[in-house]
Amino acid sequence: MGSPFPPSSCKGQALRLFVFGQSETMRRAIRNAKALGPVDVIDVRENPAAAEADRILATPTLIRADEMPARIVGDLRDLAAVRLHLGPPYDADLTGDASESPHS
Amino acid sequence: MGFNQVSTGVPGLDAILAGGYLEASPTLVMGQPGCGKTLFLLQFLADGASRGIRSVCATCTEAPERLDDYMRALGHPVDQWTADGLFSIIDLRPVPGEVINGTMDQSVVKVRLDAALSANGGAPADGRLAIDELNRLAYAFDPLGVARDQTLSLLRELRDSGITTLISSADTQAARDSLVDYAVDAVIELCQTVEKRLMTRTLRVTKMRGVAHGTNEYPFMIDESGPSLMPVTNLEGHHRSRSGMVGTGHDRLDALLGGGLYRGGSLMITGTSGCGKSTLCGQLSAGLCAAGLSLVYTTYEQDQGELLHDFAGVGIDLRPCLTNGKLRIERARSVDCGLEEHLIRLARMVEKDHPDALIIDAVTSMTDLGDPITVKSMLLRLVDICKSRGVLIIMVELLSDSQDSVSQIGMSSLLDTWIRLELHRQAGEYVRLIRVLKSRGANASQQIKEFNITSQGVVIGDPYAGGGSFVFGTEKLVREQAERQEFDQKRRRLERLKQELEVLPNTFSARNAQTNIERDKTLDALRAEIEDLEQAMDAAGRDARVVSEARGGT
Repeated sequence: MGSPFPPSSCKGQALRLFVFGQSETMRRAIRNAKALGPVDVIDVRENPAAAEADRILATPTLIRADEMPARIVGDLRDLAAVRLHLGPPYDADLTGDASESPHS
Repeated sequence: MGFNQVSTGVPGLDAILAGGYLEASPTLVMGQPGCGKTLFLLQFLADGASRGIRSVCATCTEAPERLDDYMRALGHPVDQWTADGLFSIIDLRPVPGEVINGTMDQSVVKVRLDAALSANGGAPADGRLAIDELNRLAYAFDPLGVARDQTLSLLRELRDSGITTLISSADTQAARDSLVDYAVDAVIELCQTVEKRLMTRTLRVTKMRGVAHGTNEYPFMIDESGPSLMPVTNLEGHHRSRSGMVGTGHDRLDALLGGGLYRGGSLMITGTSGCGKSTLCGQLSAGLCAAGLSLVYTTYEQDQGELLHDFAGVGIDLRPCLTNGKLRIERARSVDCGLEEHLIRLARMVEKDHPDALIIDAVTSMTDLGDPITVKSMLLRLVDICKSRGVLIIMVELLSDSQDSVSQIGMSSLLDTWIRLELHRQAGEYVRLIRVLKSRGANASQQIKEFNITSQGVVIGDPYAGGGSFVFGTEKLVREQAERQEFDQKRRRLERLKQELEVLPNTFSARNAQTNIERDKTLDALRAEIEDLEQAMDAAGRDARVVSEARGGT
């Protein structure tokens, strides 16, 4: 996104999830994100520089940081829509993962 | 009342806010797009950075590079400040293509701001923060619902943390509803209107907790060094800084004025078209510069070349004054910008260059730009500023012919000296006249004098006063000639009479001598005759006696 600094917390995973503390919303987002595959979870309070680098305006925010970038804000409760938005390879088994949607 | 305030970095604004923005509180600057909100933010931050305070700009619309460019354009060493850790920009613009899925929270914004403010190791509250177009942040995700609460809670957190914050927001009803009443302690509204095709910008403080701020609409302008307001002078006075008189370099004029003009005083020259106002200004310029004063001549009517040419035609040569730097001629066109901007420009020039004298030819050009009340109040403030800075201000007011010589601006109370030039009509010609309506604290002449524009500059002459009336111009010459003829006649007759007086006694004495001679002659003749007769009679008597005796007596 034209950012001059590389995210300091980047461990190299394609998916990066920014959270704020350990609220129910954040835990739900982490659970949903992990269902998609390996993900770096970054708490903005511990690493504001990373939030700055990726221009995070809200939490949770899921970032796909490979050659097919995408950003999704929210607790990812509609995982099917999340997969659809992220595109391949995350949209591969859409029907099977519908049950991963959160139960309030 | 327990509120500390911090300087705004905008010339003139601190005074209106009775000190500056509220420390440790959010202040909102509202206004339509393009009215200068961002510049107020940047000046606030630049003021902070220049004082060594960590200053952070959060942008929700403009690209950070653009803001850096603005800072450079305003003349701020933004790259140096950035390198020194005194200035940084936080990019709060929404990322394009971001989608929403589920609930979220914007507390991360405060985390980012805190991190930026404390980047030097200080507390966030030690820095200065500006958030440009905060309303964009609120609507990044949800135009109606959650976002507003998020914005409000951000503002609440900023206040709780004691961060001095300046926020801008576009002037929408939503911003008004959601921000003004609840979340901020001070609100400044910027407004721009186009009237008579000229843009006017005004500023109003609509809310400021605990501070006795100015409540009017204050005009402001934006130029290459950012926004600025008309400086407000200390109304409590000591601004009467007239300090001695300076001669105008024109003896008759000085005599008329009772000595000259006050340094740091104010002079108004009023008159109808063609009565010599500019020429008088030229004469004064030459004289004041020769007396060593520095002077700025602001003209709305002619450019420098025309003005110099016209003055040269009446024997006033201002080129030496320009060469030695005592005089500067500023050409302004009244249609270039609004009234406020003109006056703010003048006021800022006075503050910056601090000339000894300022000529405005003519202030009437400004009355085209605003209603008389506005013009008057703006002029009053300009005069006030000049006085407080010890600058002699010379204003020219053009009276329209239909005005019957009544001043439209009418600010006598602020004037130290008031010169009225008039065209006097008589017997087929107009004659220029000058009189001093007012000259504070000086023994000014109360007489009306002739104001002649000659090839050697201004010549002030006495009118013909005689036969119970005053006459000027050609009529004066005719009267004077007639009087001269009459006088000559009388003088000649007087000489004649004097001669006669000298001659007459002699004439009479000559005549007396003649008479005496004749009288003596006559008397002598009479005496001779009497003597002859007596002798004859005596002789006759003697003869008779001799005859009688000879006859033997009786």
